[in-house]
Amino acid sequence: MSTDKEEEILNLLEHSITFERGFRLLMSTYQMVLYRHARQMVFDHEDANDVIQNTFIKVYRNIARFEKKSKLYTWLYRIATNEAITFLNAKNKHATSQIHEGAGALYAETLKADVYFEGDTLQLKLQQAIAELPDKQRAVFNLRYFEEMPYEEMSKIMETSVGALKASYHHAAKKIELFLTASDTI
Amino acid sequence: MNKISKEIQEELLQIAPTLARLRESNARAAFTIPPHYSETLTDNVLAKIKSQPLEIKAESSKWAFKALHITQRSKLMAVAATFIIATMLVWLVPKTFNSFKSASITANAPIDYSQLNEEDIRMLIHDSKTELDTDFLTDKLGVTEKELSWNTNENAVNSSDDNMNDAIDKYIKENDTNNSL
Repeated sequence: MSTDKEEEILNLLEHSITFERGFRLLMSTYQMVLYRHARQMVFDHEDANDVIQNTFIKVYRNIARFEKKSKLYTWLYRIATNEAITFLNAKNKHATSQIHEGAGALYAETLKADVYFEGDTLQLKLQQAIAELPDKQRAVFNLRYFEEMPYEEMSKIMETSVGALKASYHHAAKKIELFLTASDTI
Repeated sequence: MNKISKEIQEELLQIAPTLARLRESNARAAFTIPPHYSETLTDNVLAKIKSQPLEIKAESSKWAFKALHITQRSKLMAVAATFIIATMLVWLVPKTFNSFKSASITANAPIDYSQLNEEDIRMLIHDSKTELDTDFLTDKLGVTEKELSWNTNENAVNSSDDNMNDAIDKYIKENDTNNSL
């Protein structure tokens, strides 16, 4: 995201008369990248929609507290990631079996019937392997693999050291590799 | 392929070559977005924000306790417990002290026998029968050894009580007669 666009959004958000215009611009700029991130975390469209709506509600209410110490999009990603993890924790409390092994297989079945999923068998396997990862490890993997984010940026979003993030990503990638090779799809 | 994408690809080749090949062919997630979703999202969020302010304020106190860290919650609970115990002590200690004080005053106060009527004396002797001297009971009141069995035999208490009362009546009458003479 360009710094100029961020600057424009923040300027609009500073004045009450232009606040709503600024917020609409913020949403139109970031909603799809954040939606994609949330969707990769929670998988289902309806769940991702809930996460994204909650994320933007929090942004709306807390934008005055944004101190510009980090980039706006880093701050937005952090809120969206936390919202997604909170959402998954709440969901896992109601369905404890899903957080353990086998979550991927269950998810693959749901994904086959999902009209908003158009991946092939390989993509399905990949999503199944990602679903088996613990929530935070999944967030790390998604930010690196799909969002192509440098570790330094990820470190600000996840509030974790670069070293810990590298270890987490490597661990996740190896698990997925093992899953893909064991399933003989490739 | 940009710099960061190339870096990620090389990193992945080292640790997970199969995954790296998959990424090379298609790195995008295979999800699609429902039509018109992005067009309506902003309005939906703004509508939700405008309909929610009171709801969030009402819930804020409920969530405030949950938002506290576990150690803060423990401290809060400890303070509440201390306050309850302190309140109970402040309320109970003077009460207990006063009742103890009044009880000890009653117990130690000398009895003015001249103020007692016949019924009071009867009650006094009856209530104190366990403390009365056996010799007094047998010599002055003429209670037999058998009648003294109420001391040890629970079942005999009622019948012994009747005998005791008769003996007390007799003693009072005799004393009254002697006094009047």
